[in-house]
Amino acid sequence: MLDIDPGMILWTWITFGIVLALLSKLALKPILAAIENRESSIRSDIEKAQQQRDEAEALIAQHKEKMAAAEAEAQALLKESRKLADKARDELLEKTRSESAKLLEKAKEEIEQQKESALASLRTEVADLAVGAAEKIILQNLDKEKQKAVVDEYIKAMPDTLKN
Amino acid sequence: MTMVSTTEAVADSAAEHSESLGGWITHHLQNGPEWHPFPGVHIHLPHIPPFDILGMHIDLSITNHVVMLWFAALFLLIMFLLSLKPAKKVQTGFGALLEMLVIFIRDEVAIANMGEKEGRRFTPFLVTAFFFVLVSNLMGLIPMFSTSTANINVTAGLALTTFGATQYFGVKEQGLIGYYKNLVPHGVPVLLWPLMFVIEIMGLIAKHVALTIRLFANMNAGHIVLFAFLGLTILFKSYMVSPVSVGFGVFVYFLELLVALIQAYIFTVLSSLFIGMSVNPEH
Repeated sequence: MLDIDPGMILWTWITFGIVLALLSKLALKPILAAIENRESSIRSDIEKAQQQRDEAEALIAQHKEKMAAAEAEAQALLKESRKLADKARDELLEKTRSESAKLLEKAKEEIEQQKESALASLRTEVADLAVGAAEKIILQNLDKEKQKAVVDEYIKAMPDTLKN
Repeated sequence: MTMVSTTEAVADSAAEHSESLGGWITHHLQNGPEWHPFPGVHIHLPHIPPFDILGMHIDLSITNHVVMLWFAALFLLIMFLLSLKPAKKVQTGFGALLEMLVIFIRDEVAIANMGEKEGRRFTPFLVTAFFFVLVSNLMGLIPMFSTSTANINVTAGLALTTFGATQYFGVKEQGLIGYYKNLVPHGVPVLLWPLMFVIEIMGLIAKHVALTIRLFANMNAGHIVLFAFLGLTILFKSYMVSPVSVGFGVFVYFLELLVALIQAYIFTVLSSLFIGMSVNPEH
């Protein structure tokens, strides 16, 4: 079982050598090249995918940033317009108020004037009437009692508006 | 019934030759000028007259194990050429299994032990060695065939191939003087160099002898146990032991499948390790 047989060793070499040459030329070299090609294509695909993902992520971040900026801008615009509207309303209100106050003032003034003129005309009339009454008293020459009755009567006969 | 008739046939073939159990076992393991594909069928293989070269008696006669090597070679080539399609991007069926094994040997054996560049360079050699040893190992488990790797000359031939590769590529990579100088480990005092050199040369030879013996002994041992269990029927001259012998035989058969795979793997790993050590001196 342990005899050395150089012929067998030679046959082993010959067979193994032929197998090695044929197998590596016909099967192993092409398949190893194919495997390497596939591996490199997978590697490049993965790298490309990673790169695209990074790009997409950057794009999303950019979009988000833009959206945030737009929203902030919209908010600012809204705030500003609200402020403007408030201001306009306040101004309008103020203007209206001052105008109405002015109008009121004017009306009061006018009323005062009217009253003044009415009182002036009344005064002259009352004076005329008093003079007339005094005339009548003097003309009738009456006693004290009669005199008093005449004045009373006169006062009674005065229009109500002039009583006070 | 088949079990009984099979054991009967085995017992008959043994009785025919009026052999002892030991003789029957060695007969099945030995190399010879005849191939027995079936019980009772003998194919005489061509005899080539031996000649003497350099004091060696070389007999290139075609023997049983040579035929087994050729079958292994043929089977390997057919298997690879039919199932692997390099044009296809993804292998299917048996090709996927082969491709997986090829990638495994490339990544986990060649590149892991020899480095990226050398690993890729020696992958075809290692893949061929692995499948050649594996197929040769497994052939012993198929009826009609016998294990050529149970012959020490075959394993020696394979180990010498590895040895030749270590020497050739070591000298090619580092130069004749550089390679043999690097055999001595770094940091050894100059006075010890002659001694260390002799020891390292002996270690170099011992490594490859161990490679030879390991494969040969493992393949032989399994077959001896397998035949010993089957031979119990001859020993006891009774059919009653056949359940035991066949049961244990099947168990050993499965063990042999495992051993065949493991030994092919170990042979490949050690070959890659030895070649890797000689082409990358610093490791």
